[in-house]
Amino acid sequence: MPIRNARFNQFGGIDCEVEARGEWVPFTASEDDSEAFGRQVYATAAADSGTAAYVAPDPEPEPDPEDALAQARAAVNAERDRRLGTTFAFAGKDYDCDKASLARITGAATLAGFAMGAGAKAGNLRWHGGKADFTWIAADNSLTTMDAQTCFAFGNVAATNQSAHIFAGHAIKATDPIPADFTNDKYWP
Amino acid sequence: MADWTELDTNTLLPGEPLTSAKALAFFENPVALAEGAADAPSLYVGLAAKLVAGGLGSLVFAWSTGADVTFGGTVAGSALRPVGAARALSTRGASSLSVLLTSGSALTGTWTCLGYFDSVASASAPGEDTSTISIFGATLWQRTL
Repeated sequence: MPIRNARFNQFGGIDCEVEARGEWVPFTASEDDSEAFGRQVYATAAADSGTAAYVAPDPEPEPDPEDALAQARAAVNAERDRRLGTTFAFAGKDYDCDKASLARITGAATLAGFAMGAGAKAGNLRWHGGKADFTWIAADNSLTTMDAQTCFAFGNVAATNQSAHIFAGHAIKATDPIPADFTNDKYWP
Repeated sequence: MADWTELDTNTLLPGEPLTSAKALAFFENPVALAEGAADAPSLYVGLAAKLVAGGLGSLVFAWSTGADVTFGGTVAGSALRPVGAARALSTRGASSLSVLLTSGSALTGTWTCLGYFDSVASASAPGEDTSTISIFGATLWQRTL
């Protein structure tokens, strides 16, 4: 059987091409092959001085410690951002705190601060000047009315949630090495 | 369909006449074997007795260390690793996990792909979600040389 491109492999066998039915096909020959012709191909190729020796592939380069650290920090940032994109608790309810929600909360809390400065009283639910009570939608889609003081406190809790996560992420990234289980709740507020 | 004719070896000894009935048996018996005629020895029994795992004609469910292989493509046995198939996948929590089924040793000979070997397929969540999933393929192969 015609053989070409024979080369020993890492298992002690010989990888080559053999001609079958008019075409060259890849073949692994071994002296332990259950097929007699496989053992014959091995014997033929092994006796051929043209059969190439096995060359081990170049070992994988060691990862750059700086790259590994940068990747680990990026992963912590991603986890922080994931958590910040979920919800935070205020007065017994969970509220969305994704980027768009946070912008709305910050805006409302700022207006509430101005209203308080202008004399808005506790319990006044129309401190914003509208014709309906000031209401916020919680993550469970329920409605919560808020006076200016409550809305201002609501904004403060949202901002505190943001900073607590940012500092928690900072603390994790400052740990050497960064813990592999940094996504565990025990590291986060 | 050719009929199988049982020949008494005593009728084949030197000096015995070569009758037309014997000649017909010589002519028809190989055809009867190929057609699986009644009373003919079963070729399958002989083949099955020789079939061993990893031998010519045997099947293996395996993955390849090389590139994707389409239906009918061939690879050298040294690139194949026998492996099982999973019936379920379950994850909990937010951690990134990876698990691999145990593989067997490299094979010998030439193997023809009987499915489609897709080395890896991945998908990523849209938007800012960093979730990804990757599945690593394996398929059925038959030793053809």
